[in-house]
Amino acid sequence: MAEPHRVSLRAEQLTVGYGERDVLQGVDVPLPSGQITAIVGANACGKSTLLRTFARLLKPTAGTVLLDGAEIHTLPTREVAQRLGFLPQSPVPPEGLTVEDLVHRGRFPHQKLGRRTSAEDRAKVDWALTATGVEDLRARPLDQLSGGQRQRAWIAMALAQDTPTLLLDEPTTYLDLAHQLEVLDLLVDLNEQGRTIGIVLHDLNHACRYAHHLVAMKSGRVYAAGAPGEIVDETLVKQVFGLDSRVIPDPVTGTPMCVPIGRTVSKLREPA
Amino acid sequence: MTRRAAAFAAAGVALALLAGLLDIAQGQGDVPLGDVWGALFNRGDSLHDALVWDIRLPRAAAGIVAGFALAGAAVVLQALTRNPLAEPATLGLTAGGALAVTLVAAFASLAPGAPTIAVAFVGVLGGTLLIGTMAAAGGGGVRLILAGMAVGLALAAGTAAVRLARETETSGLFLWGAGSLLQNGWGPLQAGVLIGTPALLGVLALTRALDVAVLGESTARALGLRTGVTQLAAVTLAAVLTAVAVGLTGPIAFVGILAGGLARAARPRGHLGALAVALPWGAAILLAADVAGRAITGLDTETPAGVVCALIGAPVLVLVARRLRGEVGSALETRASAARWRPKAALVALAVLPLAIVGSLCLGEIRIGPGEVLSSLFGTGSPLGEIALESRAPRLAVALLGGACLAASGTVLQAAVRNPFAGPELAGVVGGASVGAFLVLLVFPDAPTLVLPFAAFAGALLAMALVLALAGGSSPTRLALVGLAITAACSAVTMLMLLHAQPAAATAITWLTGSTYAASWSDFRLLAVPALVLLPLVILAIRRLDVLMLDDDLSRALGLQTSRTRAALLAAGAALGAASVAVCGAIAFVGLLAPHAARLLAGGNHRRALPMAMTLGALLLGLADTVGRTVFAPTEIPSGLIVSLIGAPYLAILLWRSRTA
Repeated sequence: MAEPHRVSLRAEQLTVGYGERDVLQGVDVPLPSGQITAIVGANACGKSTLLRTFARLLKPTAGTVLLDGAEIHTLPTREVAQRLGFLPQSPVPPEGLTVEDLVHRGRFPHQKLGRRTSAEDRAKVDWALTATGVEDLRARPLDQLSGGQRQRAWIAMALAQDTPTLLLDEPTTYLDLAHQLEVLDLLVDLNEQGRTIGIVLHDLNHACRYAHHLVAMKSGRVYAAGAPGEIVDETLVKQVFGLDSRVIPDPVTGTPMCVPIGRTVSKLREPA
Repeated sequence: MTRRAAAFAAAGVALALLAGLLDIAQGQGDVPLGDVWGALFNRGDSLHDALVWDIRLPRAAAGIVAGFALAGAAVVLQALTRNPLAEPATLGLTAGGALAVTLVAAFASLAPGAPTIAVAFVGVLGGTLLIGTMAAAGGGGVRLILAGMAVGLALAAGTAAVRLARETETSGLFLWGAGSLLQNGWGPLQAGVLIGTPALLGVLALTRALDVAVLGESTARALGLRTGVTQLAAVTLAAVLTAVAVGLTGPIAFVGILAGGLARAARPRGHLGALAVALPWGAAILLAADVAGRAITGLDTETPAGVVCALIGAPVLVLVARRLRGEVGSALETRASAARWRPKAALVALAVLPLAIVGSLCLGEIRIGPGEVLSSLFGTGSPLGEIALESRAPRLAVALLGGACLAASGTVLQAAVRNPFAGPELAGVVGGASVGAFLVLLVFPDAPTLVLPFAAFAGALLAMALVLALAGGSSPTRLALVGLAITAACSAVTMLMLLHAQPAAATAITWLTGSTYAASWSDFRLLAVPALVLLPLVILAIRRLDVLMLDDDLSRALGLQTSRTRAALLAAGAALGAASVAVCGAIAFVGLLAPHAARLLAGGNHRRALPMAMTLGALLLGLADTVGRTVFAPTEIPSGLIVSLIGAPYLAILLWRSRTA
């Protein structure tokens, strides 16, 4: 890499706790601008907490999150919403909404009190519907969509918000394999148009394939961060997920691919 | 049983015994303590002995039987719904029983004991069916409790209306209706024991099935439980136990929640252990409430145990709500819903409104034609038409505006707490308004009636402020629970005031039932002023409502200051409801149903749904007013009762259909 990437969103010495327990213990995580950053780790390692603190939804007990150099918690809510989009894990839509209704709500931070929907609002909504491939479904009620379609509608809503940075909390949960890849490919498309993307992922192999930058977390701390090809090896998988594995190059992309070894696998291999 | 559970159970038994002895020592008739003691062990023929044996002992025994029944029913219901807040009262079951008993007592005669319990059982079953459809419709968690509360309030409104219509026939039910352990002899008790014991044994036999049932339906079925049969048996047993309690002591709330909560705190291994803790504690709580009620206000004007239980239970519920982390039952599946934007149907609803207005003005003692109405409206009609309009127009106007305000209030509150079962009741509005109005009736019986709406409005705003102060804007679940607690406390206080002010009671109950009777243009102006201030505010906030509906994290990520906005919207919505309740009385259901129906016609966007809800609310209350004053003329039926009669089946059908969808 010739020059270090500009960073628009960065956590510095971030400590976040619920009550007595500190979930994040002084982490430094930059989200490189114009890249896809994936945050991975075992359950309850603090990866969702990190993402939610990035999105200004949780207040740190110590340390800060900087958005374009300014402390995010001192910025007005609406201003943050114009620069930073966030999609929570499997949100439940209110009843009686069409896809288009939902996507329109993403325009909220750009709308003034009492002002009617503008031409720009409509243009951005159309663009978001097209970009996510749900324009044919725009008049369909959300409750009639498949899981993959609905997830794309939610992403379209976050896109209509028209922010340079987009954070997503496990957007592939509850989707089948084809739909998972569909969502991830969509994120790559969006990234190629210049968006910075931060994403929490369950699947390490997906993260290795799709992310430029990987943050591996372990019990509230950053275990390793960097390009997947540079940091992912068998030691990392053992340390972060507590799992023995073989890490081989992905036959399709060449990125690291983790093949887990369970407790009983070696026994099965033994000749009878 | 674990050692901890055994200790809890033993403490419950000891407390129940202590409270029982105190109850007997304290009761009616001036009997020296020594004589009480003597009479207990050796019954003679003296008056004291008779007092102890035929009045005091049955009363204490009623506490034990009803306490067992309520606690047993609560343990079963909590297991079935997997909800720690479930119990006969929060699910609307006791209100169903009370309505059935009041109805039969009002229009026929009803002997205490087995007949009363049987009638109560029918009512409880009705309540069970309603709430069962709601549970099946996917209304778990706090949704279910709110639904139960709505059903309970509506049924209670029905009970109040029946009482009002048949004041003399139901006067004997006054103390019972507030939940009292008072007994006249052993007869009803024997019936209660004969019916309750097999039901309780049935519950004991069912405990192992319940242990499995709480794991969830599919898991339970995989473990070999016949879930359908188990649920049917459990619901039936809970209904029988509830009926026994209602039949003996009237509708009493919170005993089940408290006893069930203590049983969970004891961490028993299964439901057998839970029952061993809950049953004695149920009796102990009920008896202690009875003792406290008489200790506080003296024997002559005793405070019924039901009122004491509500006053103890409400703060406990607030504490539970404040300690809540996260949401109860918020992880709902995305369900198929019939809510859509249907332009044609919406247009029809809008077109019906002016027709209904003219139609309503035509009907009455003097019938006039539509042409006459229109010309009279513009001041060119005949004297006859103008006379007819003079009384009809203002009350219809009040009904229309009141209905629209209630509907707007419900729409805002439902969006703010993201719960389709929320209504103005939720923010404590109805309860607070009742307390305010009653307080004035009690303290200043001669005050002009014009003061009532102001007192009610002040009471409603105070109750709402209390709910917001205790719950904040942070969590919809917490808000719902605190609202429930404040409402329960308010109705207990109302009941207490009713008992102490019999003469003013009739006026108060008329008001409580909700009526547009004799409304004048000055009433309309009273309502129009807050409506003109608040409705534009709500309309300006339509986009905020849309965003708030999504999800807390999401709406914050979209730039909305979620807590502050929710609190502000709740305040505006509750104030709208308060204004309407202050002028029209405590009308249930409009604020719940109109927004619901509006979503079916206009979909989930508030730009369309809010005006539609207001139209439907106006139609509903306008219709209720017209029917109330014409169908049984010259006898008036309170519009609140008519709304409840329309609302309850609507809700049931709606939920039933959403279950099968």
